[in-house]
Amino acid sequence: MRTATTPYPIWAPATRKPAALAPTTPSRRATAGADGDAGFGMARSEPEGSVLEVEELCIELEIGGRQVEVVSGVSFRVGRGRTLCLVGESGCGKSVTAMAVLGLLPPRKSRIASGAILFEGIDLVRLPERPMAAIRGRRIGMVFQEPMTSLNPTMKVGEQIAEVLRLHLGMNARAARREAIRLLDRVRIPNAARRADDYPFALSGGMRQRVMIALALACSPTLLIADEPTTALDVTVQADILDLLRELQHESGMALLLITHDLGVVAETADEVAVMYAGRIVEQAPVAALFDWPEHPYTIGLLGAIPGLDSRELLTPIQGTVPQPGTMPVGCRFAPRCPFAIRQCREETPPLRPVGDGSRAACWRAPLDDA
Amino acid sequence: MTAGPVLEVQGLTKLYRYAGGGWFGRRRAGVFRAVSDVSFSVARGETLGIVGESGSGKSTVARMMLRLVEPTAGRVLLNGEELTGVPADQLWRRRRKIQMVFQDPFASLNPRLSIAYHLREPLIVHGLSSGSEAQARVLEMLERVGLTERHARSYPHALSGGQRQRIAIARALAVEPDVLVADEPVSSLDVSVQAQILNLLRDIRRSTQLSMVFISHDLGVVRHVADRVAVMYRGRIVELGPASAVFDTPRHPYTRALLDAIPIPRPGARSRRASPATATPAGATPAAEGGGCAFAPRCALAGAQCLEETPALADVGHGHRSACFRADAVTPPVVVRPEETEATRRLRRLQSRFVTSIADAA
Repeated sequence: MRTATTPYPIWAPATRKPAALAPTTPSRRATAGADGDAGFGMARSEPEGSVLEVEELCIELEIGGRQVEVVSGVSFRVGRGRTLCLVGESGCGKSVTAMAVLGLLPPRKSRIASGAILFEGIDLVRLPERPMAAIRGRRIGMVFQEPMTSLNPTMKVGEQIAEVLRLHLGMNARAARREAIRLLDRVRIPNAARRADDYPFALSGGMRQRVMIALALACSPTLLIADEPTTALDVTVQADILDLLRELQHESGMALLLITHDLGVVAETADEVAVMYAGRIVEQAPVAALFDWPEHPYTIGLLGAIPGLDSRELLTPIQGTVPQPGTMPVGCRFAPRCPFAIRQCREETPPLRPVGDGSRAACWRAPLDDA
Repeated sequence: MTAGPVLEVQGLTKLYRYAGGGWFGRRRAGVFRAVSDVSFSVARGETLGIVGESGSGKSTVARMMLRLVEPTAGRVLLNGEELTGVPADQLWRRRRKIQMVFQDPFASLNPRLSIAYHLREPLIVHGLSSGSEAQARVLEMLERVGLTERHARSYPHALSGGQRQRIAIARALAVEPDVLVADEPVSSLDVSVQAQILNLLRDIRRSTQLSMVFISHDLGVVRHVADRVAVMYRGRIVELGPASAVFDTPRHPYTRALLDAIPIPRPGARSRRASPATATPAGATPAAEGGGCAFAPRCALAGAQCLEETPALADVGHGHRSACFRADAVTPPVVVRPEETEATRRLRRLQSRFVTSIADAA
């Protein structure tokens, strides 16, 4: 895979600058624009603003010999220097969406049925594998949940990073090693030069995840996709990794698509949030609005179900369970568990529509205040 | 039963010896202290939460309480009778009074046996009931955890994770134990379902005076269910006290670090993390075995004494104990409490619509 000499000029990277010298955006807030809606409007008019645009994405997986739609009409945008959190419970389609953006869906077992994934203007859905491979890992970085399964156990961590640099950027061995050590240092691994010669098993979970992040950042991607990057880690380590991601994003101005089930993580990292349920986005909002004035009953229920540190109030669980792919209810997929559901909810699918303050909700009953 | 504690654990210790060699010959033979000198008691109707990160020894403590793992030293007393030292062939009889619920409800149910069978078997084994009486009791237990007769005939694969955990709880409670040990019972469940199980456990506890030891890495969950909390770090209890005291005014720097690290689902709830400890010590060297406080290498408050002596769990007032020489210097975490606003009132009003009878939550 000699992607460094890819013959597709359109996908060739801009002249690479060392990451530390990469132009930094003044601040995350400055790029956000004045209105809280910066992440979500139909604003195709400002292509500068968005690194990733996903439009009406539908994904089918083969489950039990049957094509089952697991992601239905998902649309979102991630702006430069912004963080979008895709949040939802297991099976809501958040990871499948991330895999689709990375072009890593299992080839014969899955299919993008419709929709577009525009990364810096390039439609990744229609991109052949070779140029996709040139983008993945170079201009889109990725970090997954379990660093041990993502790292090669038989290779020293420094070599793994150096390999990426040699392949994608055509560095020679010595420069690549130097750069690998610099990257390990950048993700705050103590004694980076020595750690570079460790194998993954010799590192703790948190250190391994730092190595993964160093790998993901090796080519200064404009978009980082992190799928539950801290779920396998202890809370104190999680806090460190989230702080690190924030700092690195601030330094480099990259866009971050963070996939998580943890609303606490969302509150502390996101600029915008898309809540997914059973394959659909049910609510999209700037982070403050989502927590302050949620409009979709699922979001409202979820927020009431988290045991918090400051109260011992009765939790408000959502009755029942998430529907299985292939057995989706007609109409709103949350309706069977929703205390606000009316007949219309069980018959027609609610569209994601504006509900004020830059928020959008897919609910027939929104705004819910007179419910 | 008398007024004494239902469960008492004294000086529980577990050592694992390991041979030399290991991967790439890097390891020398030695002893690993999984749990060191853990003592606590649980009163009737009380829930003790044990929190700690992975490898802190909390699950080993749980298993030793039931002697699923044999303690190297220490005693477990159930209703004043010693469980440790009971010959293995008589152990099962004593264990009826202390039951356990595990993290993975699928692994703890037999895929080839019906739900009814799972619930009936302990009744028959312990000679509590049989025949139609047992059948009636099975239905009663199902009802108690919010399931119906329909579920009795099904098999584990047909149930969701939350339903399986309900079965595991029903099975544990079927033999009327005095103590329920729950090891991460909600960790594998989605948030919306997790809340169902937590409310169920709370309901059961209120109606039966059941004592519970609830183990979790999730401080929010423990805060929600526990009356008292023990915080474990590297095999030792470093702080023990009433839940409100431990969470609001922690007296051990590690507890404070844990509280600071939890992401709060409220944007801007925390100004900035300013923890007295770092998660990863410089150089990442584990504390030397034996000498000094195990947390000292990560601790911003650590002094010379901390590196040399191991602090004992000492009383700091009001039933609150801390294993820290600098307990007085630990400041409470800075958390911005939510203001009562139109938005919070609205949210609570809307959320109240989700609460129905907890028993029929399935």
